Amino acid sequence: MHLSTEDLLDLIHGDTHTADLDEQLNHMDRCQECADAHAVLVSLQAHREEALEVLREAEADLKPNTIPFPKQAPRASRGWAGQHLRLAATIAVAALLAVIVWTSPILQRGELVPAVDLRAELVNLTTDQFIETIGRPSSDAIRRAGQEQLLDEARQALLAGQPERVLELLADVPPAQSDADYFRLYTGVAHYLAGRSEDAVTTLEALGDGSDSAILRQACWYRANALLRLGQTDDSLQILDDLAAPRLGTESLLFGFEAEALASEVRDLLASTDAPS
Amino acid sequence: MQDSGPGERQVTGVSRAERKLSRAELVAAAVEQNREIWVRLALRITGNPYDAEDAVQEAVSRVLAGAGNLPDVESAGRYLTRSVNHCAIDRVRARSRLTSFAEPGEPGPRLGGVDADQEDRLVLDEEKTAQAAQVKEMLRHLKELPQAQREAVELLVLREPPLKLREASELTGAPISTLHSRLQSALGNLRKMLSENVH
Repeated sequence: MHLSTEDLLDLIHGDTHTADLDEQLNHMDRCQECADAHAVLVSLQAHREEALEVLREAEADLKPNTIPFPKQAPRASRGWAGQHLRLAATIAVAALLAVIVWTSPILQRGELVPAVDLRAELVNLTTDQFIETIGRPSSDAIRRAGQEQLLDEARQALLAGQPERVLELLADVPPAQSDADYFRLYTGVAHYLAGRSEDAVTTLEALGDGSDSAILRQACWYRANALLRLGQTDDSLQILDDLAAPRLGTESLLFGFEAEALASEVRDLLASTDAPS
Repeated sequence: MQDSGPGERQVTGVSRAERKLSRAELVAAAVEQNREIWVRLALRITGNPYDAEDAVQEAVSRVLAGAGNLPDVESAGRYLTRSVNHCAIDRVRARSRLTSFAEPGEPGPRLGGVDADQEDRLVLDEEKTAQAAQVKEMLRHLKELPQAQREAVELLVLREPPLKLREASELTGAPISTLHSRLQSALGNLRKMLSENVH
């Protein structure tokens, strides 16, 4: 039985009861793993200032990246399915808005829309589930990520609505692998579903050049939703518009319609709250 | 044998347990009970028996010179345990500072005023250069840890005063089990990376 993390922390901070000290030192004499963990903690403590400086540098390196999109293609080049689905989505949104307007007793009475809690309304518009449009990671992505089993467990946990489990699983991923796109995407989405929108934005922003475009679009969708939850509508709308913009390639269908519909809903909401009372 | 009566108690005065002990007496009693274990603790931290002895000695001096109330021997023991820990870590820190000034291949500062001959000094310098390289490597790996693990290290290990798991959980919103797992992973990763680097 190894020393617990609490035992090691107490030991390094000098909070261990003297009665337990003997037993813990004896354990470390026998157990190289615990002795090494303690040695790492000692080293961190002994070089606290330098370590904090390194952590500050690491935070500074996490600057927001702008996710590049391919150049906008002419509308005529979009596929038949894309055009029809987009049209259907637009009609559906328009119909929904018409029903809302028609059934609203306030508007029927000729009154203006009452003041709303904008942030709460924005949160209501956001998604609360993991929508998997890209399926299992490709063999290339698995090769880059390194751990097929872990990726699949994380994916299953996301699909089962267990974001905390995903974060627990991916916390164990060695640093070199944690940079792999799928790990970052799953971690970002898990933060988002766990209600930590800021963490989600930071993690998903880090996906950038060189990432698979399908993963990027999925990351953009959740980043836009997270920004809405944070009330950052301008940034969110910019991403949603980018996602909705017509492009070449089948990936352009991923989240394109959803993004267009959501952007439209957000703009309507913003317009309604701007209306003079 | 006759029981000692009230008259005898008046002659010998109050027993040691009954009267309030001075700070020096409390510290002396705590040292008597725990000295060996503190030297072992300091040795585990510094890896050097001379530094370990010095750390315990320095801790006792600090506590003796300190102000504040020490209600009993157990409290003195707890206070001294913490002090030994800090003094030992200070010694590791000081040793690496000495190291950082020593250029590879050049004779570095001597430890503890020992007048080592040329051969001993070269061995000492090699050890110190290796330690400095290891610290540098650890800091590089620390930067490469995932953001969540770095946060756990900062809050639970490096922050002054460090947070307890429960406090860190309240601050970050992450469950205790998650923080636990993140710190464990961070330590595991650093340990693994360092051992890979050594071998």
